[in-house]
Amino acid sequence: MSSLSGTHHPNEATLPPVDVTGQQDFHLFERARTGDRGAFGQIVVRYQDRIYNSLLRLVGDPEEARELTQEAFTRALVKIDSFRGEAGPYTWLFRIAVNLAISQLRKVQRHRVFSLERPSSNGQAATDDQASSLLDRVKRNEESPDVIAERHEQHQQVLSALGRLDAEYRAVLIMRDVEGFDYQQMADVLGLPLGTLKSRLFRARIALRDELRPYLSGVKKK
Amino acid sequence: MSQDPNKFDPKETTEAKLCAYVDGDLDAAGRAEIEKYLETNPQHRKLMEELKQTRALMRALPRASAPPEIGEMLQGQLERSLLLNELDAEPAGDSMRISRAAQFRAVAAVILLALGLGVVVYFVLPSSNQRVTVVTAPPTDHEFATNTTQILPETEEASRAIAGVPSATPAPPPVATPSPALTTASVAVASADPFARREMDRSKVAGKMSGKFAPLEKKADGFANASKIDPFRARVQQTLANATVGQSPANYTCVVVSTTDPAAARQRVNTFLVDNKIQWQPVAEPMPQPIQFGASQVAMTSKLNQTQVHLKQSNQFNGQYPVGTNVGVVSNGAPQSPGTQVLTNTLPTTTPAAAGQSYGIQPTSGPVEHESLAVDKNAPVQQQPVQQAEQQQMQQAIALPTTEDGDVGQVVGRLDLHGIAQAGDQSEQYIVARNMTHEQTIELKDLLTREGGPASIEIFNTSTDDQPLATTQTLTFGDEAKLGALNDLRAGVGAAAPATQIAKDLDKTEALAAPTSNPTTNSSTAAAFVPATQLLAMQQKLRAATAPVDSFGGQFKLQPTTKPTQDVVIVLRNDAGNAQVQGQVQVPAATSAPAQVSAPRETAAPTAPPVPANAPPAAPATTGPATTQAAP
Repeated sequence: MSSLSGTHHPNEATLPPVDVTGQQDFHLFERARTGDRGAFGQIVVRYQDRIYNSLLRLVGDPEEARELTQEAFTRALVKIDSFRGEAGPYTWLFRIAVNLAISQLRKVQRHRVFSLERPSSNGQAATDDQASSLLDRVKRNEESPDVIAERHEQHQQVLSALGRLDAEYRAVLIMRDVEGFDYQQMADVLGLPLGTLKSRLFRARIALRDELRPYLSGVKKK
Repeated sequence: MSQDPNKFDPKETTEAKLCAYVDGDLDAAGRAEIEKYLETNPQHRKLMEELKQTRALMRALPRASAPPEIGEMLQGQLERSLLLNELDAEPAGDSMRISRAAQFRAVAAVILLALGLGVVVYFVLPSSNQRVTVVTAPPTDHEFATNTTQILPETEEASRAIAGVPSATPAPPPVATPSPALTTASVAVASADPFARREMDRSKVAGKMSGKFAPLEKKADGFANASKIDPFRARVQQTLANATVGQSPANYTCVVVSTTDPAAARQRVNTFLVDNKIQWQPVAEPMPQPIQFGASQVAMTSKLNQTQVHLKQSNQFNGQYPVGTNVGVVSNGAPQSPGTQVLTNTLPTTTPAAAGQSYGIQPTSGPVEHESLAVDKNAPVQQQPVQQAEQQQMQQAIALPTTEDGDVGQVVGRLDLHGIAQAGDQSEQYIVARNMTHEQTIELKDLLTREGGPASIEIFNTSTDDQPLATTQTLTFGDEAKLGALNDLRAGVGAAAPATQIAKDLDKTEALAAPTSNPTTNSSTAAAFVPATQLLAMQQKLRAATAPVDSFGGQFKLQPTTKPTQDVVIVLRNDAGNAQVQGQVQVPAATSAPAQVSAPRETAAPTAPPVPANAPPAAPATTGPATTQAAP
């Protein structure tokens, strides 16, 4: 089993160590298949953040992402007997989640304006992002407000451009650049040949570039 | 955006290589090949740089963590399912198994309970289907003048014997004179009750032994003992004891049995009498005198007070039933008591006193068992609208009134089809013209659709067992597109649009209303959608912002057929589910044979169609709803 986090990922440090967790995941899935609900609970705890983050980037709405995450885990529990270990546990889980999200996006057929601001009950935004980890907060404290505001705008622009893409393009970009999947994992999830997958990813990048071109040209002028 | 991920692209390999180049996953040879290409094509190098930049931007996106409630919710679900599964998976041990002995005991208890209930019902509870009434004809010597009519409850004792008791009430004289051989008889009602049968058998044996009907006191049975207690029974026994065989015919005992099943009761009584070799003479109960009562009076129409009727006064009703009025009572199917006294003053309906009058009898309070309706033929009654509508609905629900020649040449039916709540539902209304000759025509007049069309009219004959006698005429009016435009136009007019706009819209209407197909009619085809001759009227209606937006009319003549007459059905169908259509159907008089036309009936939920001002109301039923029932 290859790396779950892919290569050249700046956030790779935040992801679980794949080689270790890969074996643990298989073990947990085997226990869950035999009816060990505690093992499945551990799977949920282990992957809920990643699933939720991917779904949030796919659908753009925190509430919808939360519901899809719950639905994905529920379906995984129902279908856990169908897990044969041919793909990685997380790949199998992610396939359920991304299929749910794509189906949802196809149903709604909408382009979303993504926001970094995550609504919370107390009105504070994005307090539980992984970007708000202690290290990030320390880094943020070292940065000037201008830099923070600029990064915030950049994220907004990227998320907005992502929300304007088709669901399939959005999925491959998130799998590759957010989740750090390698090509084979992406092909397993989407059921595509490798060449087709790479071609789709290339076109998705071009589409994202087209959406971001005004922002990129403005950044260059600055 | 012009993305189509699933479209096959011959450049897929190149794109795959470029993708790998951007991601840095390309091997050295491939990377060198692309670098070489990019040196000669700097615009593509710029593209690669931008793609790498977007990739970096994507990877710089912050990561969001899942809300804590996801894990909590899933954990709760898992715990619940775990508990449920554990409960489901718990093996059924011996403690949960129902023993066979307990099952047998339960079955035995149920059987015993059922048997006990059966015994109680069979031997203890009185039967509910028989009531016994004892009335007598007046004896000539008024020997028992103090006795009155008695109703015995049907208990086992009452079933044992019923004896004739003279009545003090003024009863009519007997219709038939008893023969000299007819004597006073003791009568017992045969009953399903075995106890009563046993008592009757005892009487039979006693009669055989004595050769005549001895006083019951001489019989050593329970009834004789019971008679010491009940003075009425003692009187009955005394009556029977004093009855003398072969005396005056006037000295007889009349027994009237009141029962819900007269035939069965009669058979039982006859059987008993035959078995006991008793001679008897059936006597019909005399009819009471005609009742004279006025409007708003409540009449108790049953001796058992089971039915009340209330007279409703019509405009020509003077407060009393005139002589010759035909009043019928329609039963709702419930069995009537043989004592029911029905208003049966029957004379021919052609009596002048009956013509043009309308009376209704309707149930009032109390244990009413009957619905009543009585209407007279061709009664131009000025009723309240609600009553009129109700009466029309009742007439339609009861029978299709068929009129004779008088309707030919007049408006014979009115089509009224109103909107249905749910789109897509269809409702139909039809008029049947019977026995039409091919020289007759059916004319549809003033058909107007209101908003929501389309609706259609079908005209076809019902003689499907022969060659097609007439081509089915299907006329659809209220075309969706045109109707929609017209409705829009009407809305614009109704919203007080400027005059110029109205004129423009009217021109638009004219264009819309231009005949598109089959614009004219002949004697056997239909008119086109919105005939030009009606355009002006339609425009005027549009100017007035009134509801009708589409109209239709036509005349249909049947083709010569192999049969002298045929039945024609005109069906108005609401195709869209919310059309409102009104119109009239007219059958001009034929030169040879008249047609019989039935009034319209709706298959959908009945509404109360307004009666056209220029048309008489539909001919009411003269035979269907009003039936007369004589007293037994």
